[in-house]
Amino acid sequence: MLAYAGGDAGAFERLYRRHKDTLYRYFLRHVDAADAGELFQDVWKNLIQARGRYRADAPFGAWLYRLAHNRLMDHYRRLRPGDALPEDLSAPAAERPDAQLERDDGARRLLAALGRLPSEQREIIVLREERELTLEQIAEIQGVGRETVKSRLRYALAKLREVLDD
Amino acid sequence: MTDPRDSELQQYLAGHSRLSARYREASRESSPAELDDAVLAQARHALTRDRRGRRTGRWLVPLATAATLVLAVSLVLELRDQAVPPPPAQPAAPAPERAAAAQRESEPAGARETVAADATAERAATELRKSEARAQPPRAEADAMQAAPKAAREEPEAESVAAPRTRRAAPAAALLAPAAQTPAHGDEAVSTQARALGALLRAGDFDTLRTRYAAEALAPAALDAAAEALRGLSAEPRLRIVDDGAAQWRIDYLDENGRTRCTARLRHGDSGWQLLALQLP
Repeated sequence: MLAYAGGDAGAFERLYRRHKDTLYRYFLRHVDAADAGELFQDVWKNLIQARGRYRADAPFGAWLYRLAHNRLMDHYRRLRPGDALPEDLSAPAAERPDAQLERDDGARRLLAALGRLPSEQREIIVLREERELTLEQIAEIQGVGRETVKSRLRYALAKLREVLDD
Repeated sequence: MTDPRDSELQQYLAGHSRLSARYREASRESSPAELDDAVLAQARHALTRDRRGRRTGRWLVPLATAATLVLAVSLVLELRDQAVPPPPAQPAAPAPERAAAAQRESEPAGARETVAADATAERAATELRKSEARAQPPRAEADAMQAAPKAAREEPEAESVAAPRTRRAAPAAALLAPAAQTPAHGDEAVSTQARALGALLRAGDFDTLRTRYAAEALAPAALDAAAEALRGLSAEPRLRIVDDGAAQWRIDYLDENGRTRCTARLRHGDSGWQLLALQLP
């Protein structure tokens, strides 16, 4: 990122290729494909605009997903202006496994169960699986304490266990 | 006895779980190629703009320096002309004027120069004020200023830096300082930013706010709470701005009764303005 801020376009492309698919899937797990594309592009746009302010003391991945989380929260807010963020925003039907016939049954059922989790719990699983972020990093992204993240993760695992046990 | 959910959690965090294996199996989508092209083009375009800006910037500095020098030299010449003592003989002058002339003769030359310099400084101050009035603020800031009521702009609090400053007594040397040296985070700039920040919060335009004030790291909950506090006001909030030093300011947004509804901390650094924190009282 620092190299890109210094004028190296190739550095941005390498960075982009490394992170693009995981970021795109992060949004796909929360919104439909059309919105995922829009939010994905917005995050990169914000990142490009903020290139001069990036500081190497924070891992790039954590910074990227903080931007992504903020953009997602703004999206939810616009969908339901004036409301507190609902706990039960489920993933869009188009992204549920019914439409992904090429995948095996277990994988499809897992994504379906993930889509039914409250968005905060789902986000933790996605950030762990896609980026292997630590609980501390996820806590910072969600603006809550580490113990809250831990507790949300426990609930999420318990709900997903039923699917895995089937 | 260990909670089974804890062991499940530990196992998951260690990366040994069926969930992770199955998730990896299921989650394989890639970003569409047209999105990739659009983002990469945007990134290249931003760098091109930077380079173009730097090329223009290379000319701007010498140009501004030259313009400042011309202005400074002409003002100095004018000062010198004003300070030249009047001719000693004034035969046709009436008695009181002759007395005054005699008194001027008896004064030390330095004192006369000071009087002349003060008069010129007054004129220069007027010129400076006119040129400042001609300079247009950036559009967004101008909009924010229009949005804020006059009372807020002239907040009379002792701590406030938003109050207009009197320049009458400015020494000539200060007036000759080139405009380019005026710090970007001067008093007026801080109050303008504070008003613009308040307007963005009230409008709930967090995207613009985060980009403009480098506030990507601020928790959405903090933004929500501050926006809520300011939206509850019937009019634009009044400002109390406290300079914390080291290019940092505390800005209290006050309601019509002078109560603090929300506090922001702003910093000005090399990369521009940064919103460090938002707090409720």
